[in-house]
Amino acid sequence: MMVRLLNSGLIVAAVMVLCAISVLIAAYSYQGISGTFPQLVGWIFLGLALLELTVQVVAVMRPPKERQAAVEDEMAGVSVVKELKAVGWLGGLLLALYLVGFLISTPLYVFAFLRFSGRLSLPMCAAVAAGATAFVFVVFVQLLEYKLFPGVLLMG
Amino acid sequence: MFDSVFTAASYLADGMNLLFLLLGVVVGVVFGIIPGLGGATAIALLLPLTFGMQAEQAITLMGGVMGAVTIGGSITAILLNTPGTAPNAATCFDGYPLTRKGKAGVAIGAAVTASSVGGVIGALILIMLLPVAKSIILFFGPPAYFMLALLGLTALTAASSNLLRGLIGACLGLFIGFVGYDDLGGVTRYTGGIDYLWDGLSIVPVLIGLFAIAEMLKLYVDGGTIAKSGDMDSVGVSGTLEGIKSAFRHFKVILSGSAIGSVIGTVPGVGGTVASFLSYSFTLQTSKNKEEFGKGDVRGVIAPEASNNAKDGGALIPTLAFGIPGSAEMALFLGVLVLHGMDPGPMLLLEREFTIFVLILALLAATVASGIIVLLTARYLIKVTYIDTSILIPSVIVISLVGAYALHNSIGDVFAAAFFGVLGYLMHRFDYPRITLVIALVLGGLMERNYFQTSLMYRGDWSKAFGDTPFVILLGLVVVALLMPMISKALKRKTGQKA
Repeated sequence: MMVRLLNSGLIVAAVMVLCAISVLIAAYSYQGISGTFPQLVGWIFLGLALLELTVQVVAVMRPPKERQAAVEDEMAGVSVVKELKAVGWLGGLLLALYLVGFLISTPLYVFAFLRFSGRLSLPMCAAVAAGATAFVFVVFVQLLEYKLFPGVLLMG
Repeated sequence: MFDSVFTAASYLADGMNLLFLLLGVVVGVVFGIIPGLGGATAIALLLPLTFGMQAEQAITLMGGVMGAVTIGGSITAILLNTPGTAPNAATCFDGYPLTRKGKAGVAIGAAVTASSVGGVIGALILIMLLPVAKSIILFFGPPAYFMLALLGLTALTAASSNLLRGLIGACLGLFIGFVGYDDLGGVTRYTGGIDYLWDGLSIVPVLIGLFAIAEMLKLYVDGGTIAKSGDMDSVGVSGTLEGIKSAFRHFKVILSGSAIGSVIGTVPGVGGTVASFLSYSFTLQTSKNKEEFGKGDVRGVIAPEASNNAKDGGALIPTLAFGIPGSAEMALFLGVLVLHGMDPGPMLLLEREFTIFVLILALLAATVASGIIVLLTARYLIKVTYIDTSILIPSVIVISLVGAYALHNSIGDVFAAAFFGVLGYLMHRFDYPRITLVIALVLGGLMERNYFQTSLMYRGDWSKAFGDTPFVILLGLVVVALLMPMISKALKRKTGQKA
């Protein structure tokens, strides 16, 4: 029963319906020609999202044996914890970039990722981190002459 | 026209430009070899590096990538039974059996030769068809353009794994395209009060997120090395010269494969995978002795490889002439053109002949250069697929985010790239095709502008558009594209019942 309720397709379809309703409501707040095309697309979006939701509801209400097995396989095959970790690492990098900028967060992030997620040896982590930072510095700062974001803590 | 060809050739022969071409070729080969990455990721990652370049230099770099990526992909298909890119899947049928027979070198020699010759034929066909495309586009008014954009969108959606979800993805893409200041109506739309969104979402961070970052998130979740099968130590590459000779012995197969690839390439959404399978099955059907196919027949390697590189020439016709990209790779390439101040469509073809020929010649040179590089280094290149993904992931993510920042020196673009990276991963996870979102995002502006102009032309009465012949023809094609998945499903069911 839990597997049925947690059918990811159903949840995503419901999110799409909500999304379509929100953008459609917003489309009607735009006056004149700015709203015409978004309204047209919005109605099509809502229709399609409702159709997908119906397909998913029908599938959940009457799951054939093979579908049930497929859903269970899907749940077993993908580690939600690993997915959250992946997003967590990305979020951590964004925070570091925002605070201390590219040139400090690049070696820190690459080193930490390789050490704690990849479980590589210290010299290997240091070498790859140094290589990645050198690449960013040489290509973007030296060759292309970009001023990389210094981070809010080091600005000014 | 010949003046432009010669000027473009001398431009490419310049030392710096040649260097960009070779850089593109090397990156293309490496990204082609690594299964799951492919040309779209390579272009997304290289895109920010082109900001400071001249438009032609950027095009040379990308031409190098596009010309090389499928040749790289054939190596893993032959040696590891894992296609580097989707169009190389058909190469596995006979490429891997040849490897198991100890004839990997023969297969690689044949694949590289077929791919290079196919690429050259595709580029030549593009040169021949461009003047025809030029004269056709002059007949197109706003109603036909609107319908053409819709055709590009629906054809790609119909070719995606799930029609309904593909269409939903397209709607999402259109709405993402609506974000920002609307030039037509003079108001801001879907900004949610966020100042950063006033100028709309820049295509570069969106593409970097959807392709480069999403792929890295996928690799993180999958874990381990990229190549899951095969044994690197057992790979032996010898007999490549015999492979090259055998490709020329079966030149008819190269010609038919290239013709199929070029024609299929012009149809948006159908792409290299269909072209290579079609070419394989055509060769199988028309061959006298079919027994060896699937067991290691070199013709089974030549046919798909000739077509999947020839398709690039065909795919560039709708991209350049109409601004309608036929694949993710072409959508990203369109992003490169826009970034460098070019407006893909009729005017590009009419006004920038030199730039177009730089691209065609870069593609042509890239197919030959990548062939030589692959022949010389195949046994070493294959080791790339055994690198632990944890080494690849942080470096690619950091470089992607630096690239996203570099366009406008905006930290907002970095957050946008990360957001679209997560969105891209979720779309992959829940089987919503990303490509339809990207194409809709690229075509959204064109569609809305032509929708508005058509409405003005006919004073809101769209029934008058039925008097416009190109509009009616394109509308018919849209209907066919939408019905195609249902028709093919019904046909499959019927064939299944008969069997």
